[in-house]
Amino acid sequence: MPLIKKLCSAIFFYFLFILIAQAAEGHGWNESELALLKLQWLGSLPALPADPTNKFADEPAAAKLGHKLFFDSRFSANGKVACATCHVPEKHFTDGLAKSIGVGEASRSAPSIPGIAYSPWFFWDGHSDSLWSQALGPLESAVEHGGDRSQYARIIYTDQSYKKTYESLFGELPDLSNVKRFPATAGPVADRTSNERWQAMSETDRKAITRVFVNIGKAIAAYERLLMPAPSRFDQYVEALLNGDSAGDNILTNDEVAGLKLFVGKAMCITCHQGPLFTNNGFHNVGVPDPATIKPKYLPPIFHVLKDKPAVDEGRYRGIRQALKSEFNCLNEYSDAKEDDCAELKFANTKHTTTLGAFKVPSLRNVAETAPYMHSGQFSSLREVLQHYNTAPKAHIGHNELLPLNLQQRELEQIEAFLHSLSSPAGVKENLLRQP
Amino acid sequence: MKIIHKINHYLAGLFLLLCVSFASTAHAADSSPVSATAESVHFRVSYKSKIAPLPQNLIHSWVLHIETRDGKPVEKAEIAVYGGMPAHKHGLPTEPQVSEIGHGDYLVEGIKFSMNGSWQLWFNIRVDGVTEQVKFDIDL
Repeated sequence: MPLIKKLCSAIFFYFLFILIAQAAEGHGWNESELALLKLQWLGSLPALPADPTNKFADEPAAAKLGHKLFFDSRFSANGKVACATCHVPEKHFTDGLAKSIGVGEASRSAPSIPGIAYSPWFFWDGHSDSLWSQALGPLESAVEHGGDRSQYARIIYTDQSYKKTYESLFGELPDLSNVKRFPATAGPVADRTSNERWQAMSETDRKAITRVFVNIGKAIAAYERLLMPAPSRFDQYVEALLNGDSAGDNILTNDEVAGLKLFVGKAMCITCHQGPLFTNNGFHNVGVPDPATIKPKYLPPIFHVLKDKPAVDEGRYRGIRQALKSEFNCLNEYSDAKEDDCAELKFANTKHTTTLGAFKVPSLRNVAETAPYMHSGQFSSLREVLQHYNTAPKAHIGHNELLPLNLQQRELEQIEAFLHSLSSPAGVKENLLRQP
Repeated sequence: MKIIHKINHYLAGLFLLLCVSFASTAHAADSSPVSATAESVHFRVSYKSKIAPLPQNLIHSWVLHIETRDGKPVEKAEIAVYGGMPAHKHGLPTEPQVSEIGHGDYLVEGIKFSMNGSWQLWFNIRVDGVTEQVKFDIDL
């Protein structure tokens, strides 16, 4: 047999072997890839860790109260905005907007909530280090709920149902009958009148109101801790693979499987979107364009006419500074945690080289259902997101950590197809998704 | 005979492939050392993670031991920690802090590796006005 024939036949049998081996492993997953798939599988999600900052975190009565508060639009300046206004259960707790609309327009997009309780940081820039302190932020934001803590404490005080539940959980409410001591609206907020009233109150009275406000947050957090994603087609596929069940081969299409292979391989998505919730809960600068790309303070005086333009969003750089000085952080008096429980805050990196322009890695569960994307909805479709990752443009602030992927158009389509397999209904009882 | 010879060739090929795949799996399994040693001009530095295997996405502590090249523990060293992922040009997600335990041991608190891949951790060790540096490569 001539040498060339021998060679051809050897190559033929080599590829035949590869094909047989791939068929045997189901869609061609090798051992290390299977380990990665298992890592991403919802079945690998550990039990929700305790929240040492909130001693009511796993109290069913607190969750029940939090459920009511989450849907109650009285907790706003105009009586029309509840948490559920921007975190709409039917939209996987998002609102489908680039920038959320409360009593005004927010600067960022409302993220999805299911599974968020696993994160050590909240908000796109991580300016809260607990779920309960996160819940308090929008309540006093001038553009979200627009109200203040005195107004909210008074709702609890005057609504007999809330008052009863509150007192059975947290103890006696302060006596708010004296409106001179406890004005109807007062808080450390942007509204001048409210702020002045707040400053005029005694420290003891301010603390009494703040304690009620904090407990509102802790109850909302107890409810949010119940919101978890349900298994998606991706999870069913991985479960079948792990069980050696060939029936699982038809759960994902060939394109979805090819996209999954790229996701855990060449496209390196798994580097940050790692774990059963498809996030490492870290902060990274991925060079997302900012609507305000001009920073007036760095410009010569001739350009000062532009100074009304909003500043570039510095992301985690600003977020961690806010968290460190927050009255509601893990180390402060309203937190139930011991100092040792606050390692994330204590050791957080504040350096501009690591934090400037960095934003939180979002979960990708239900990502196909929760457009638009990025912290301010910069991209309206998954296709745009994937194009961005493929080219990795220069960051407008800080530096882009991404490397260009240079994938083919077809490969990007496959990743997009795979991302659709992460959709699933909410993994909680239907009644938790409705106003109680 | 020729057929048997040919089958032998294929079997050898198969064996080679199996070896290659086994070797890559074995490499993955021991890619996160819980302890390691590095040397600078005057010092021998070793770390031991308090959590094994080296965890991902969890804040944990290491005990760093510093001794001279001839084995004497180094005390009262000023130590600065920095590091990150060179491939992604980003630093550590945390700012670890170092405190002296004694007998050449130092507690390094607040270490966190937030994703898989190649990390580097550098220790700047300053003793009696002289600064030396050691580097540890961590593959997660």
